[in-house]
Amino acid sequence: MPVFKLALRNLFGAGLRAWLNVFILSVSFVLIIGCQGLYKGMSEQMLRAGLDSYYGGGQYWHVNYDPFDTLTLDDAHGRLPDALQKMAASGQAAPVLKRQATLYPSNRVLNITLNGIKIDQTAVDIPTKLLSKTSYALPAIIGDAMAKSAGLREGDTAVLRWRDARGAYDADEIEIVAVLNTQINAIDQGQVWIALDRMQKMTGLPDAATLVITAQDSARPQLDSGAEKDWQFKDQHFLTADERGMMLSQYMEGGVMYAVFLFLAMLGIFDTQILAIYRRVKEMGTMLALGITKADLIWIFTLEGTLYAVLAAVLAFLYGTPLLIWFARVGFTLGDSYDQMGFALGNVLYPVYTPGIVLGTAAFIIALTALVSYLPCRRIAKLTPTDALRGKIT
Amino acid sequence: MNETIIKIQNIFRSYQMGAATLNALNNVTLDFTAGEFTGLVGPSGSGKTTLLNIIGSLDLPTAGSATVLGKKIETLSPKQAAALRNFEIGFIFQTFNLLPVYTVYENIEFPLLLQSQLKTPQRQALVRQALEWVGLADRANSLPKQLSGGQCQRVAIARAIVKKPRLVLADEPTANLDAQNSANIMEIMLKLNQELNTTFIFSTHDEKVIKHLRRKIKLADGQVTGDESI
Repeated sequence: MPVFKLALRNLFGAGLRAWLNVFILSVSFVLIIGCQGLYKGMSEQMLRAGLDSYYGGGQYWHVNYDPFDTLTLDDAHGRLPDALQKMAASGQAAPVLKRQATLYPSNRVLNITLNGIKIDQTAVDIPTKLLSKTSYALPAIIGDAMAKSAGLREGDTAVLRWRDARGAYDADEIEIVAVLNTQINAIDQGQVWIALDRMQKMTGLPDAATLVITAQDSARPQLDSGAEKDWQFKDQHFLTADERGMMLSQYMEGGVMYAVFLFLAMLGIFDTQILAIYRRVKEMGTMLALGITKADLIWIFTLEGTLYAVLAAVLAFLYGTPLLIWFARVGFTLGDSYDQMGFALGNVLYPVYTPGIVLGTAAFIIALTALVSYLPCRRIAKLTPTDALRGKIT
Repeated sequence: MNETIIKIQNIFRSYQMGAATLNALNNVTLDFTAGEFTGLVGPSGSGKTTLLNIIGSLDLPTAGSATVLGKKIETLSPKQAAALRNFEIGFIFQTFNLLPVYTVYENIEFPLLLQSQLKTPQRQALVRQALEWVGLADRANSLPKQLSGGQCQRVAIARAIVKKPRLVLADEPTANLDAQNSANIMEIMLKLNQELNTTFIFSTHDEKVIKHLRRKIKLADGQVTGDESI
């Protein structure tokens, strides 16, 4: 029996009602794919921002360095191996020296990590050239979260106190020459950035660094065996573990929203199908009287419901493709409140649609539509033909 | 002598209505032969439709046996019953029961689509022939809502006879029609009965139908109270 033909005939025969259903469902398709794309885009942008501004193509850490224990900073430094020095000289790597320090902004006291970074580095997009500004105070860069918590703005000054290699305290004034619009915690919260050569002098640690950020397009240098013991390479996967964890948590939150959204869409389809099918009990009874089997009846009406989703996918493809492509180009402008989210996002969020998102969403919605179409059909098909002919649902 | 195509033996059919039991058929025994033009006559609730439903394998007897075209109705699986209805039995309903989203042509074609062995040209020829029989060849592309009641019932007749069944069961076919349309419908069915030797069994209490019957079976309270050939 040409089930497909009959299902199509039923569907198109429903006229405007069918097209309204198809249109509404297609909107769900586009919205769900759009939302998924936003989450994907947000995740990718967050990772990209982390790589661009701090993690680079990976980092070499001094063996004593533990980012979760600031006390290790006293001993976490060493002279760079030749291979890394060469990379730094060519701008392919950015050595960073880290020490504990104290900042006194507006009569307050903040424990911070002082970072010395090579001014002429090109490995990450921290505007380190600004650190070469000639000023009576030490030029420094901070992130916007740090600026907020310290109450500092560009041009402000504050007293900085640090200990040198021999343990002696020293102090100087710093001037904020730039406030970075970033929310990569590793370069923002409690971090102050100054020129590496100045910091090496201040601390009495010439040629020393705590870690080396390599450029993303650089090749990993071969360290000799002695250097390999002191300098351990941390790849992007390792370095972005926090961001990925945060993304996963965001994705789970998004997943809940996605599930709610999908549930509402499915409830709509289920409702429509229930109404459509229960309204057509007599029609089904007539079909049974004409000799259709119950299995074929279920098949026709389930297929009819599923075809709504298939047509919706086609319609969504027709108008959704240009819409989503346009959306991916212009992006989604984030308000200021997104600065508080605690992870790295640009001012504009660009959705990313992968084949997995598009095909997965389509397949999932079509399968779910088939299910919600099948359930009421099965119920009706359990009726005796005489009850169905009377339109009586027991 | 025509062969017996339906044998009803001591049939009972009861329904549970809450605590009460309604006996729709009460020990009915009847035979029908090929080519009959017979009516089950009686007031509402006499069991006419119930008997028609059992003969049409749409319902099962509570007790007794019904053999239709060599098949014991009470032993058929739902699939076998569907096949019997699809190939051998045509139904005509009081309220026409046309599929609203299908055109006249598609409504008539529907039972043939269920017979998957028929090729498209064969189907087309049969549908055209059925449309000619009922005089609706010019309305093939109309939807049921664009037709009058009489035209709808003619479509229903065409749908019932398009597969050339051996048996047509018509449940109050003229109840929703005026005198002129009823006469037309009966004329068509009589013609088909004579030309194709199709057996027609009606359930009716309409005098316009009764006057055309060649056999009249009276039912009252689920029992046969009279059986006369005219």
